[in-house]
Amino acid sequence: MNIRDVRFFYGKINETVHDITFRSRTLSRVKSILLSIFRTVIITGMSYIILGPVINIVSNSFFSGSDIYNPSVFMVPLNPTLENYRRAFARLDYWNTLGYTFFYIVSITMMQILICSMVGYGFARFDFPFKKILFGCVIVTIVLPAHVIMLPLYQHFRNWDILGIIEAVTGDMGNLLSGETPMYLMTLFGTGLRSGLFIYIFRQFFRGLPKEIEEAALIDGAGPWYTYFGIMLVNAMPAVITVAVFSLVWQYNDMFYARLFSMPASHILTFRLSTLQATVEFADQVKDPLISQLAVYAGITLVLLPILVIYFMLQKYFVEGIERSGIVG
Amino acid sequence: MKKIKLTLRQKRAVTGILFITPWLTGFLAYYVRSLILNVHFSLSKIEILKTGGYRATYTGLENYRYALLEHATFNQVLADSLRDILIDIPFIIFFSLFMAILLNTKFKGRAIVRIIFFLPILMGSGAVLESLEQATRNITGGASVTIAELAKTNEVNIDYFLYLFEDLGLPEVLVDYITGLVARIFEVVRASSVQIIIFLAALQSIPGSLYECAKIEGATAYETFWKITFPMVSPLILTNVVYTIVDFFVNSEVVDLAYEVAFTNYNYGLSAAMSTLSTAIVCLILVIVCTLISRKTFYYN
Amino acid sequence: MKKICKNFIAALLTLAMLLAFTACGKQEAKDTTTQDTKKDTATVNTATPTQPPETDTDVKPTEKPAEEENDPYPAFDFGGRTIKVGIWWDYYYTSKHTSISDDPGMTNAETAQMRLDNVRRIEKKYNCKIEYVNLGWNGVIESINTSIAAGSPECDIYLTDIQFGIPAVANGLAQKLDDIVPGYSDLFGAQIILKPLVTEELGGTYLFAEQGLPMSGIYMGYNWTMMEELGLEDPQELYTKGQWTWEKFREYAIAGTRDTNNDGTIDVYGFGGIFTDLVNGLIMNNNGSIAAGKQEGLSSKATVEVLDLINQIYNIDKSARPWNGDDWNDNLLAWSDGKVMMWAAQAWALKQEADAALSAGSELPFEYRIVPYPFGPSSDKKVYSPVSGNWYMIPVGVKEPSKVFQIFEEFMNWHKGDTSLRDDPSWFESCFQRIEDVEMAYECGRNLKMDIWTSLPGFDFGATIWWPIVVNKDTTVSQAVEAAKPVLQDALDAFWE
Repeated sequence: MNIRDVRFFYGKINETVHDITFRSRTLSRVKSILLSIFRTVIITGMSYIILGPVINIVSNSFFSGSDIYNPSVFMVPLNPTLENYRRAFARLDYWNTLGYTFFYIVSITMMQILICSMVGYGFARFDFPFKKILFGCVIVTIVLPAHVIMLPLYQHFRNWDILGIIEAVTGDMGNLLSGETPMYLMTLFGTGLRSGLFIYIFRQFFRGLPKEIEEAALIDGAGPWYTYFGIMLVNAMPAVITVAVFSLVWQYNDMFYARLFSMPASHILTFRLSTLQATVEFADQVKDPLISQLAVYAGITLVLLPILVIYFMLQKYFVEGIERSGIVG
Repeated sequence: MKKIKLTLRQKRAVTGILFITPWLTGFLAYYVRSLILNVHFSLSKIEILKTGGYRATYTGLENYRYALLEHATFNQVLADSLRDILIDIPFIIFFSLFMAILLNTKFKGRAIVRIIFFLPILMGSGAVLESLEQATRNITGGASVTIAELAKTNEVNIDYFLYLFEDLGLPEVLVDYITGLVARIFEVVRASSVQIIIFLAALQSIPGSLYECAKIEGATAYETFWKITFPMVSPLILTNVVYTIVDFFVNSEVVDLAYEVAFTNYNYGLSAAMSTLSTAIVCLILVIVCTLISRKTFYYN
Repeated sequence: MKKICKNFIAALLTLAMLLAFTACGKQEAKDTTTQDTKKDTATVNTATPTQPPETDTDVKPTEKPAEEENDPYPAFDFGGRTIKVGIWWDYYYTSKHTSISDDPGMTNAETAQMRLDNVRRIEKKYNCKIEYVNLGWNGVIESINTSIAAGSPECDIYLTDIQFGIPAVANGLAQKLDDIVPGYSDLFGAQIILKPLVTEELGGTYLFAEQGLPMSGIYMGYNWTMMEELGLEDPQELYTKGQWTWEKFREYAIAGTRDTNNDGTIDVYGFGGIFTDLVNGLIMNNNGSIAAGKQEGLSSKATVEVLDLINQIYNIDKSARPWNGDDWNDNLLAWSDGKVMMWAAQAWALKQEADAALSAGSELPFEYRIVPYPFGPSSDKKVYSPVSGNWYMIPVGVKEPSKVFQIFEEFMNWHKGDTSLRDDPSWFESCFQRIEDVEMAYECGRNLKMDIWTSLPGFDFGATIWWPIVVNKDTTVSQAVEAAKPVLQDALDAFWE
């Protein structure tokens, strides 16, 4: 076989290969177009379902009194007004309350991440007696209907004491209610708002991570604590972000513990939101419920905005999270 | 003194216990008492004293008997709640995994769409819902008779869909199931958004190298899904199933009923019995579902 | 790399801990300091005006100073105790406010200053603090339950809604006012400041509320312009003559039902409006009830008469506008488009529609007036309205309830008996077109009777009675009543148990 023949064959192979890739390329192009149409339809539909009520709330928040009773007004107010926002701003004491609330939820969230990931790691990677039963108890803490734990928790924090020390010192038991301290304590001990779920998420994540990472660390002589803080937590970034998002939102939106521990309304923005209508009705003497509701709509918009901004920022890390764990894996 | 020597295994066990200590303390301090008190209440008749506080008189299983045999609605509500849980779970899991995969692909405006799918978590619970409920209550002048009527306008008109499906000649049970879901589509979407986010996180923790391998080996998209994506997210399928069951349960009518019995009817004993019964049943369901699923769950090691 | 990670995490950890601890520490520290300083000033103030503290729990009116200063309330030292009132909104003004501008929505500086001065005066007179705690609507319910069962109520006074206030009383969570309220109080006296809720079912007085204009009455609105065109006599005149009866009401409704443009379909109905008010109004003025006490009233003669009348006008005379099941507002507001001649009126809805018409450029094209619901065959010819609104209670477990009540009553008397400062009728008056209608509305709100069916958990009047009879029209009145009776009785048993 001479060189020319080889070249000829080579050229032919090249041609067929080119042909095949061209065909498969057009095929996959059609496929991807179909996929994106399908995706667009589904996502638009779902977004519409979700956004419907939200758009309604936001557009209503600009309504003036005359718009709400005008049957021809739909979505777009005829006499748009910022009056509702002015009222909601004043009655929510927006900036102060927001500041307090954020300090509260951010610090709680940091504790949640730290404690829950630690406990989750313990359950995921170590063997100890009664592990299964104890983990069952973690699940029980989230299954248990909230109202069941109200009375004992109330009693506990109403007369708070550690082994009688406080009573011995001050002569009276501490009353931790009317503040956020009980929530900090409960979070610190892994039994905060939906902590059980976070522990569960972390445990499943850690179990899903390859063992080789830790083994390599162990061979390097790293202890379990270092392995956990230095390696596992970093690798569980998607889980950390997920838990951070949930914890922030749920704590932000939580009414149950805010009420149970009678946290002051001036510290919890969402709690204040839930009493906004009554405040407008009784303090501002707006007796018409449809008008006072407009202030609530404005309030809801004001309350949703900051948390959406935070989520927007965090979801970027979601994407970065992929690349990082991709490299490690 | 003799130095206690621990084997490596025991050492690991101690470290493990140290890792879970914070939670264990909290559980013992805050939950064990609640559980005991709840069982105690459920076996007693509770009376509020004239000076505040309460007196519990032991009545045996009377509260359980009353809840199961005499209470007008408890059985029905419990059965309905459990049925809802079991029916909706497969769909919600399937739906949220599907949406997560869709949202994980690259397309324009992805950030916005992710925010939209995040909204139901905010809208569906806690303060926002409560303030809206308060508003409704005020408009109807405290009339609980009309809440259902006001809510009506938010529903999707299902008659049309029903018609459509019947034309296709699908079995009636399936049609009912699907139309039922469509009618509650907002509820379903709302109930899935947490799961979608959990799945998204799971999808993103799959190493990209696995997909590259699959590509080189020439695997089809179908194979890639079943051989890589599905096993890799399977630990979180379990999480999501558990979350879905829990979420459905804590928002279910049976829990509402128990709450109402305690907080508006002041029958603490009966309420505790109801809570104990329903929690026990849900825990049983969780155990069964978890054992079934964990058999199929793939862990990296 | 390792080091950076380690440092980073260590820093994060410390930061988290620091934050957490400063959070708890700071706040507590702040709270205690402010409280201390306040306490100090309070004790300094009280040292001068009042006599040495009486530790006697039994409060006896000391008549002499009362007559001299025209102050019926004897002063005592409450030892710096804080009286907590649990409500579900932000209340102004209390001990924590120092300036009238603390209320961001303050409109009337004069009354605001009076309220604030009153707080300072009470703090000084009794050496106590008054705190209003915003617990949220559900929070009040939960606080009553949890804190009383836990041994000591969180608040000394709770504001309740009838819906959860009555069961709380029925289950022995409130203190009986007859036993604790001092004899010289306004509640059982002139009733200028407070009013009691008197019901036989509770076996005593447990709930009380702030006096005010009787604005909670329910009444019927009518399109006077339309009636005039039809040559009908003014229902208000019929009412004053005692002739505003069901027969007249039916007659009017039939007369008002017309096809004004002769296209073959009825476009104006004699009556139309939301059923909650209609049923309430008719039953009240027929001396009946659905859920007044422990026994259901649905099957009582007076109530069945009302349901028969409703069946008559909706299904036989067809003189009432068919119920629109899809749109509550359409039923509520059909009157403003002239689609009905008589309707179930609410003051705010009247004002709203009139204002809306004005802002659209013209007034409503007709004159509206109001009249009580007509008297039925079982009526005692008196006009009643259902008890509604918010009522205070003093929970069991509150120490020295008499003193708490006295201070609270005096606190509520910030206007010093000048009720015109408290009662601002301008809003209510602006809801009506003539002062006669305002008077009529007050008259409707003067006599209150208990009937809690609209807010009774577990009973749905709409689904069990209204829809079967009026919307689906597939059930007779007696069938619907028979079917709903046991449900209602169960709901009542649960409510009162």
